[in-house]
Amino acid sequence: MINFTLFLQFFKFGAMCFGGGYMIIPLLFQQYVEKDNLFSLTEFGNLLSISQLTPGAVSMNTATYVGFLRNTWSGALTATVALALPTVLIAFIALTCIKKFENSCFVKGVLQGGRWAALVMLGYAAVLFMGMSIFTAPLPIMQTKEFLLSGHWENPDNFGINYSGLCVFLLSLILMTKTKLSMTSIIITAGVVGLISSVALAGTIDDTPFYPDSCLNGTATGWTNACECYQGFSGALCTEESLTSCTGLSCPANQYCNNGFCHDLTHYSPIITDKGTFLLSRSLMTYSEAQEFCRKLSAKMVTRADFDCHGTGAGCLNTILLNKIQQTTRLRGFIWLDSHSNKTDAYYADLNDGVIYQSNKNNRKYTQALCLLKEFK
Amino acid sequence: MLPVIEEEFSKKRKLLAQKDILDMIAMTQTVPGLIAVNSAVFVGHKLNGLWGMVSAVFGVICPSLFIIMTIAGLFPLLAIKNPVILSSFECIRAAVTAIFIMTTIRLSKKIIHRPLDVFVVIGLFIALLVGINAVYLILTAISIALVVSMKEYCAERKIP
Repeated sequence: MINFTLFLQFFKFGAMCFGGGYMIIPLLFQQYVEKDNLFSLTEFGNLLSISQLTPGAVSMNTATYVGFLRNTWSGALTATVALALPTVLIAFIALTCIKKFENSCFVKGVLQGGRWAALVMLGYAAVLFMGMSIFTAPLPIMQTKEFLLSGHWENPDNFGINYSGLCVFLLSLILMTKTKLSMTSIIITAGVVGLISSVALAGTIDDTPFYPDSCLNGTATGWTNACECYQGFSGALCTEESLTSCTGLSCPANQYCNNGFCHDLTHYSPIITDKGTFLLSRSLMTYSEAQEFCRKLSAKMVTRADFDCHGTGAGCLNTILLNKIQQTTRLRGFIWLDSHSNKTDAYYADLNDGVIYQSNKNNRKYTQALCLLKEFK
Repeated sequence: MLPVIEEEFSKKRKLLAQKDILDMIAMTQTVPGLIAVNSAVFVGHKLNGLWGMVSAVFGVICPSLFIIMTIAGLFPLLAIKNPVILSSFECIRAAVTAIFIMTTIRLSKKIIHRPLDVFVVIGLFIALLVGINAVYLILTAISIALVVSMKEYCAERKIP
């Protein structure tokens, strides 16, 4: 089924590449980054960079890459063949009636339109790439549109100039205009510059992961106190009072203390799957549902008690807990689903870099886990 | 792509005449699609009919398939979190940005001649930025170009 969808999508892309292979970039971007959330913008950029760097046509390389990521070798084969097929068909028809083809105003029209479209698509690809190299965030296009329409300007998130990116960009521009270096060698030069500079600057770069404030300033050490800090992400801190009201209770063995009350373990069953996802269910799943979920995924299930945690809430996702989870499970990351006040928040914690991604960031890893959950339900 | 084909098939192996090469260049420029695939179709068909075409296209697909599958399978580069490699990728993206901008400038010099070109290209570009589906925009570009070329055709032949 994945292969069938891939075939249709790449056949469509192939049929749209009137003016050459670069036209596939905006098509891929709209389909896989904006619509399906399969890649983040940076991952998409890296994917295209690798395709540009390796021998072979860029469009073919990208098709193979996306196909492979979607469905290993069969996906790669499907996507690449599907991309080439429309061109093969058109070229074959053109060969068999080339004389009629050459001077018709229909062909001239199609080609002129293809050239216009190719230029527009290439320009758009350049704009996309600026947002992930020279600038620290995508260009504020939507904000500009909003401003022009309603006169209301909203500052974009984290938008600024990425100075190291800008330097390499200018350097590459100079190399391209002043020397006869091939594109591949310019890309490799840039990669080497990046390697050297990051080794040279190692230690000076501040890459503090994003933690809720309450976890950083130590007020949300609720895990060790078997207390929960509900509003960790929205900024409210665990108070001394809430800590004592919690620790003051002694709960039965099959229950744990939370926000001043003893709660049944069955409603708070963390699950660890071998696929690298961790679903902390609250009202989303009962204990038996969770067991079923793990069985279907042929995954291992672990309860919260396995890493000595007796509370819940994103606010308490602190460094100690992250380390503990990684030591216990050797996972690469996990998904955290947390439902409260009638809405469900999702977080993805990456155990390699210790970063917690929030659901509203359109994160791919988190989206994939949500899909798994939906399929099960 | 085209100079490599000329070198291999015309100069080295003498399989294609100079005229065929010129035909091929004309064809890749008059038939829409991916240039690598177009030329593979032409050379393959010229040398060995339908099967020649199929094997030439297969040959053009193979490098991508093998190289990319090896890279994606053995070195899952996109999943790497190593800061050194990520920073190297950051610089590579900057270089690719420069390449895209230069290619855009070169292409626009080739394509934009008339006021109509400027008008259409800017209009389509804004529409794409605002988030309109690229497929519709490509089809719009082609329809506009078709209408224009039909009009020119009629004007030349004095058809009302």
